[in-house]
This record gives sequence, C-alpha cells and structure tokens, in this order.
Amino acid sequence: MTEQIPARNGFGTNGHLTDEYLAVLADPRLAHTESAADQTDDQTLDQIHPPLPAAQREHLGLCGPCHAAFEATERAMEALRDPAALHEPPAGLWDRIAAEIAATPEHASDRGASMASVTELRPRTSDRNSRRQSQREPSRRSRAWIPLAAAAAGALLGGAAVAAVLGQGDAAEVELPVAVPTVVGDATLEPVAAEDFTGRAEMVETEAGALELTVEISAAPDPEAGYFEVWLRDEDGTQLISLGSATAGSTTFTVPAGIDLSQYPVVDVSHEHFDGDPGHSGITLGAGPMEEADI
Amino acid sequence: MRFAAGEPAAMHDLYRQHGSFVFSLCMAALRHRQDAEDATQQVFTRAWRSRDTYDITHPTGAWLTGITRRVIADVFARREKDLQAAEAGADAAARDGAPQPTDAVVDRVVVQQSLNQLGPPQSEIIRLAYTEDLPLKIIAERLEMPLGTVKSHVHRGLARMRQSLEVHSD
Repeated sequence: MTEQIPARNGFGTNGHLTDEYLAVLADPRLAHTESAADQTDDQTLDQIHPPLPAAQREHLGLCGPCHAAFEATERAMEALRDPAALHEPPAGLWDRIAAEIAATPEHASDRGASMASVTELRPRTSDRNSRRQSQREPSRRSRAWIPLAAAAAGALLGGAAVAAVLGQGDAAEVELPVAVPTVVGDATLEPVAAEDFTGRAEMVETEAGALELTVEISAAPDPEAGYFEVWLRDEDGTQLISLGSATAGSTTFTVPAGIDLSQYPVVDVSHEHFDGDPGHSGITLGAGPMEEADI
Repeated sequence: MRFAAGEPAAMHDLYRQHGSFVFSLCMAALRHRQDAEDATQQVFTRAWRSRDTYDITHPTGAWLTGITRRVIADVFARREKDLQAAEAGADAAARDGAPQPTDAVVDRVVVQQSLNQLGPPQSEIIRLAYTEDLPLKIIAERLEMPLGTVKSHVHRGLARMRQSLEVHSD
C-alpha cells in the first residue's frame, strides 16, 4: 500500500491498493478522469463518481492493512478540517526539565520505584504488529505472540529452539521425560470476509519437538467452487507461508521446522479458487493472532 | 539511542526534535498554557526516567506521543478530582468546555506537523483542498498548475499524513 509505482486498477505490485487509489477512495475528486466531477459541487459527487470496481471494493473490505490505511486517510482529511496550532515551547522550559532530570537520583532504589509507573509506558514489541487491531482488541496486546518469541522465554518456541530440540533428540528425551504434546499457543480466528465464519487454531509441540497447527473451522460459508487454505502470515499480509488446504472441521498441519514464528504471527484461513494460482486469493475468511498458551 | 544509555545531552536533542510537537499536543488537549508547560516538562522527565524501556525499533516521536497521552490523561483526571473537591463544576466546565477526545487531538497535531514537513507546494495544496475546502480546479488555477499535478500532490501528501497518523496511533 506504499507502492509508488504506477499500477493498473489501483493495485500495486505488492498486491495492496496504491497510495493514489486510497486517496481517490477517500476523496473521489482525486480520480484521474477529467470528468464533470471537477466542475461540480460536492452534493452531486456521489452520483457522478463511478462505482468502485468490484475487485477493489472487495479488497478494501477484506484486507486489514488497506482498510486501516483507508481509515487513516479519512482521519487525516478530518483532522485537516480543524487545524491545530503548532507552538514553540517557552524558552525556559528546557532548563526546568534539565534541572529536574539532574535532580533525579540514579540510585537503584529510585530506579526500582519508578519502574512501577514506567512499565506501563513501555512501547511493547507487539505494538507495531497489533496496532491496527489495538482499538478493537486492546486486551490482546499483552498476550500477543511476538514479544514471547522475541523475548528470552520465546526461545522455547522459536524456530532455532525447535531445530535444537530436533538436532539433539536423545538429550532432549532425557531432559523431558514427560513425552506429551505441549500446547504452545492458540488463536481465535475472527471473521474477516465472511460474517458467519468461526474457528480457532492451536499450536502444539509434539514429543518429537515438531510444531503442529490444528485448525478447527466450526462455521464457514460453503466454499462453492473453491476450498479453504491455511496460512501463517505477518500482520500486513506481506509475508505468507501456506500450510495447506483445510476442510470444515478439524485439520492438522505440520509447521515447517526452522520457521521464525515471530515473523508469521497470524493464522489466516483464505477462500481459494481452483485457478492454479498458488498465492493467497486476497479473500481472508477469518484470521487471528497466535497467542501464548496459558501454561 | 544515546538517551537510553543515560546521556542528558541526548535528552536535550530529543527535546529539540520533539519539544514543539509535545508542547503543541499538550496545548491542543489541555487548552491552558501553564498546564501545557507543566505537562511538557512531565513528559520529558518521565521519558528520561523510563528511558531504559524505550524500544529502539520504534520512532522516538511515537514513544513520546504515548507518554504525552498518559500525562494528558493524568491532568484530566486531576482536574476532575479538583472539580469534585471544590464542587465548582459549573465554573470550571464553562472555562474548559468539553475536552475533545485525545485521539482526535493527536490526529490534528500530527497532521499539522506532517503538513509542515511536507513543505510547499504540497502543504499549501493540501491546506487549500481540505482546510479551506476549495475545489481542486480552483486550486489549480490559483497556483497555475495542471489539475493532474495538483491531484498527485494531494494524494502523495495524504499518503504521508496517513503514515504519520499510523505511526503515532500506537
């Protein structure tokens, strides 16, 4: 969606709507055509602006990043209507700040005391990835998959750790006498393109150290001339790994060994057509971020 | 980040870079000069105290926006408390008016800052198109530019502002 390359039909080479097209959607006056819209007042614009082509309308409805970008464009236009004044802070303000900073003790006790309030301020590693959902799902931020995989605790789940366990199977068996699959994470698949979609996904680590993802599709529209495909992807949908096709009900996939799950934190179920195109159709029926299991 | 390593001079750099933005945000939200100065001071001292939690993968501006939101929320909470204590609700409410949601205030300040960074002629075109709400054709005539050029300035400018909003909405 940040492509600057002129694109056909509003789509960039990355498969997202272009900046130009997003702007046209938010403000039809920007359409390239030298149409009557340029000479007409705003009231009649809706009638003059041609209806949005179906492919782009569908993409906007289904693609989280593009929809978020569209909403942010509208917010920018709204914010411009009521411009805020920019002020230079008064000359003496930095001196007051510097004095307060200089007076801040560097003792360990003070650091400890300040941490209580400070921790709340921490920009979490997951923010960048979850921000588009954060307003709708604030509670998810603290349990998102990313910080776990990135943090030391995440070594348990990271691809490197999985490889290590696989590589030294004997030692691992000795270390882990309880050889049962361990649930390492789960995801609730929220409906995206289909309102009647419900599903969940659960990631387990088998006794052999492999990761398996079980996806349960409890309700889904009839795939008609197509099928469901399960993906691990990043928040923006720019990096995807296909795990394979799924049926309504429960399907279990082996997650490729060595995958860095922090790069693919979202489980996505798409509606694919029998068109021979191995890529994601762009129609996400449901998706959700993988979250750390409560162990 | 040098300030994360504990260099006060680096904090000064951060202030030079973002002081105007933070102060403008406090002014727009609090609508009271002294409160805005105090709040700005608090933002930077809090940032200093919590510098070891700064995540270097994030822009410092967005990090400061997060701290500023909290400081503003604290001021609103304190005002509310003062109001109740003083039971002088009518006067104070008349003075402050109903505060705009902080999200909208952040958007307004972020967009203006982004507009300033765009520079002419893009900033002027965007202002005419959305703040003045002029038809694009009039803008093209006024600036003696082809209509298509005006349109492409607008969509590029909107993209920049949208990206700034996304950064600061964390």
